[in-house]
Amino acid sequence: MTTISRREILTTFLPTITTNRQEVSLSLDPFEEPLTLIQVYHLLRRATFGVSHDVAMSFVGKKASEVVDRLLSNAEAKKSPAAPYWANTTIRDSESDKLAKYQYEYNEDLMQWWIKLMSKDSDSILEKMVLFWHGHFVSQYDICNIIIAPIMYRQNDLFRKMYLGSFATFLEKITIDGAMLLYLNGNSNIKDAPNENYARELMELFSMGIGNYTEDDVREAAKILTGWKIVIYSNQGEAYLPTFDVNKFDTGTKTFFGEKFEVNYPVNKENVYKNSIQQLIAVILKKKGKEVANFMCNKLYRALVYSNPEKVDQQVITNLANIFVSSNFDLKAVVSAILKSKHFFDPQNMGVQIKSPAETVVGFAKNFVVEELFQRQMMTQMGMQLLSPPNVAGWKGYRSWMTTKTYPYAIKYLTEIINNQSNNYLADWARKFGTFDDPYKLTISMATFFLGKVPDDKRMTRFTQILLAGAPDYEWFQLSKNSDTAGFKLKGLLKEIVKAPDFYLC
Amino acid sequence: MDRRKFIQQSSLGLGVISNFKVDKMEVSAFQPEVTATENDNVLVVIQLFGGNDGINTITPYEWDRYYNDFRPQLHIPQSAVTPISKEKGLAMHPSLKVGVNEGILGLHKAGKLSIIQGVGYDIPSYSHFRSTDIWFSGIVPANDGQLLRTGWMGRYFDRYDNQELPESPYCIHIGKNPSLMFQGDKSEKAILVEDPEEFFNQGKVIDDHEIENQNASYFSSEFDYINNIGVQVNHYSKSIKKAFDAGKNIESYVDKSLSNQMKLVARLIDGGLKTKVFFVELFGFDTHAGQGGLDGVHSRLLAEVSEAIGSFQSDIEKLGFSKKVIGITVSEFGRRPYENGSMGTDHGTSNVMFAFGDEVKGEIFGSHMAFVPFRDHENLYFRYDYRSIYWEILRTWFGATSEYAEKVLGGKFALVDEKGFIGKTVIDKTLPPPPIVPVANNNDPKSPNNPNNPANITEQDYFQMFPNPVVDNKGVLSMVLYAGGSVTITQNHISGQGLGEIHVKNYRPGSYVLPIELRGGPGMYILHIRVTNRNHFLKILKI
Repeated sequence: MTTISRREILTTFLPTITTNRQEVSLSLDPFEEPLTLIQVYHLLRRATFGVSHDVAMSFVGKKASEVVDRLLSNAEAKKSPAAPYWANTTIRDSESDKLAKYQYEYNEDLMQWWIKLMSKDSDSILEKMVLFWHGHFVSQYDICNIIIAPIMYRQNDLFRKMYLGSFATFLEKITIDGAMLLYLNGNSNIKDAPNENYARELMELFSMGIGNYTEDDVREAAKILTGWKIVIYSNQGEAYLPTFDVNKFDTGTKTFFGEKFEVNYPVNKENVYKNSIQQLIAVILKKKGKEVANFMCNKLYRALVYSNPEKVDQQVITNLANIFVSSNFDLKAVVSAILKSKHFFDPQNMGVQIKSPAETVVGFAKNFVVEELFQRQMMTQMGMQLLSPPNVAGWKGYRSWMTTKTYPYAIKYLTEIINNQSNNYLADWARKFGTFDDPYKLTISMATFFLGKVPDDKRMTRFTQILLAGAPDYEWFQLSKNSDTAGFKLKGLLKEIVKAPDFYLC
Repeated sequence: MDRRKFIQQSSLGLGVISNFKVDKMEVSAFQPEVTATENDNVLVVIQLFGGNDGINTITPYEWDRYYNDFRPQLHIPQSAVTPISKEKGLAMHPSLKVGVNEGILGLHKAGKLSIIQGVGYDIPSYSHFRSTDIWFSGIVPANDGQLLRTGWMGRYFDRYDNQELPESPYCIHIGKNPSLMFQGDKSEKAILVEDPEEFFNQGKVIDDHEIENQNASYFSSEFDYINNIGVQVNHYSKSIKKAFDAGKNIESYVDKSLSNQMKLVARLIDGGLKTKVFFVELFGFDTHAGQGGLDGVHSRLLAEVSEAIGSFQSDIEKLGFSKKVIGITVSEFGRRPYENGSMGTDHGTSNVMFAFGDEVKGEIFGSHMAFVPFRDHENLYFRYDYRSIYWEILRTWFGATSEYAEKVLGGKFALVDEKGFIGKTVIDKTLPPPPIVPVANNNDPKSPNNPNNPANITEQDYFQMFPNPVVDNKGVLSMVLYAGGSVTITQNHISGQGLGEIHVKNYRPGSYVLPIELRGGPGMYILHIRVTNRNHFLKILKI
């Protein structure tokens, strides 16, 4: 059994469920059958923010490994979207009149820029991973000293560039990321006053989990990491780049996980990065590789398969951890193994994840015409403010997303989205499913598209009745030709669908 | 009303043997109280998120060390505070007299305020979220890794798990995000409400959804979880709306967050809602920087608390419910006695807690919390276990049996000063003794007669000579002082021959680079560096 992480403490205070998981496939072997539409939906729901029906149709009949490879290669191609217009502008520390803009306006713009990318990315795993990393390597922009947007943007860009690469490189880079240096006090970690904040979280939350290191390891790691600082203002150096101050670096010999860190080299930025930061990460992965693998695979499993796995699933997580270690901590190897596996496509794992507000809001809104500002505000109200997770441990996730506050709230505002669409737009959108002239088939299309699991006949019949709204079923064929009328009726069905509990499952 | 049995597994029936896990202790007990009827007492919990600075809430106004050592910049001036106990040397922050009937100070004068000083727990956590979880769960974990899954109120109301939903929710949390405090073993025991009208309008559109019996699976358990939330929202939104429409406020409140929350609580109580626990919250007490003195952030927050409590208590009295309602203030930790270098204070340990209402004792429990000894070089011990407060609430205020309270809290706890803060509490000789507070203040870093404290440990300081060997008499001494004081450097030859004092000056803590001019010819010397009563020796070669 692995050690319990703080994240688990935060996420799983909720009741454990006793279910019968004996029959679930625990195999990580690739799922070989050609994918059905339902299976493609399942894969895309986990890999993206909401399914695009067109993309889904293009994957039907292909094998899981082919589709997953496509989701990964597409991600690779999308890693460098156009930056927000302000991303490379700078300010001087005397320009206090401009500061508020960089602190608030641009950060809000960044959130919307990001939501747009989430919404547009229907055929790659990129954006899903970017949000995952934001919830893992947490930085909150709106803390005491607000982190300005260009610095938050650079962190977001790092998540995008590193979305599924070498975990070692990722750890090295995030260690001197600007927002991280500011958020976890790396900026004030100097030899005369070591600040342990980042060193502690690096081990506790970012890599191996609590219980795998000592307080001495934290102290020594803090000393190893001294001297790095991010330049915020253009008059203080090259803005937004980490700098290294030779005089603030602790040149003493440190002992971390039993390994000596001697400063027997000329102290300069390159040498220290190589001999301190890269070496620190190397020692973590060398000495605690198994713990890191368990910790990270547990987290990835919870994000991609199910948030509250039982003991029986532990075997899968252990096997993933083995893959992670043997691939020299290649994140892609793990995620690819999960998404291609028989375990992942087992019906027992479909429709079981409680959606995050991003999945609920962006996943729904991407089908319609909805401003990013509206989406951002809705997500915030539902407990997911981008660039500002509640604390360094990230969002609690899982059942904390659905409360007596968020469930009615989501229904209300998703209904507002539906009401704001024109009847014609809705009808045209639904025609793409190819079932528009048959009320029964259209109901099935809509229900399978939006609900976590295909509903039983009784509920399906009820949905059709709501769609027909009193009209006899034989009239639908004629009625469906009139977009205005049919679109109006479709609104009724969609409003019913967003009220269903399984709309919030994926 | 129920269109659907709320808990599907209700076939267990009443009076079942249940396995119930609190802390590490597995309690297997007959549940005698499944059919218990609650009295109609109400508890209001006011959460001050961020860690309230208890030391500046009630000040030790006649104690020099408070002004000179602990809070040289951030103290509340003696001239501004209102003394509340001459003999204990205690005074109230001036913000606490803001509000209707002089707010919290008024409650003290009227004998309706318990001031409990030094509330905390052992092996404190300095993490906001972990310590908040510890307070909410009512469990002091054995280590950082221990899972805290349920809250003390959640466990208390777990006894109704197999029954139909009552008309009023057990608990109402005026806020956005669910709190661990109300998480029971199987379900959440609080309803989150901000605006009853809005809640009602949202709640009425949610239906109950049934799915065909799917053998127990992840899907069906998550579906049921969400569906049950919907059923609760729909059900309780009606009773909350009904109470909101029927209720009223008589007293006036200021238009600020906490006051508005408490105004709503009073109105719901007046409207006949039978909810037992109301939870309200105020954020912003994490005053690491810019905490400020009289005009600062902390003073403003205390005024908000005083205004809200002052109006609420008066309202509840005028509405005729004051015999039935008490309130407590809770914060995840106090702050350290010594202010930090950023005009603020850092996460500490024990804290001051208020309880108010007609039914609490108008007393001051314990001496000022800053008088409690240090447990390490920066944090204080605690005098009262926070679970003592919970214990008394469950036993006296809710009328729970000793067995049930023990089951909820995983143990029995001493009453505050062994008599308790609620008027009707009966002294119970069977309770365990209170926590032991050491007498000696051995850990205070600034206590000069403490040989063990870090300030007197030379290793904390750091000295290095550049260059070494020294050429031409001139060198620089790099010096880091953990604690300030007078620094005297004496140069001695290795043979023991003294060459006299070469540097004498006072320094504050920090790092310095001192130009040093050495005496004598080439050879091996020892610099004796004395910082107040700490000694350090540095060997140098002169060529």
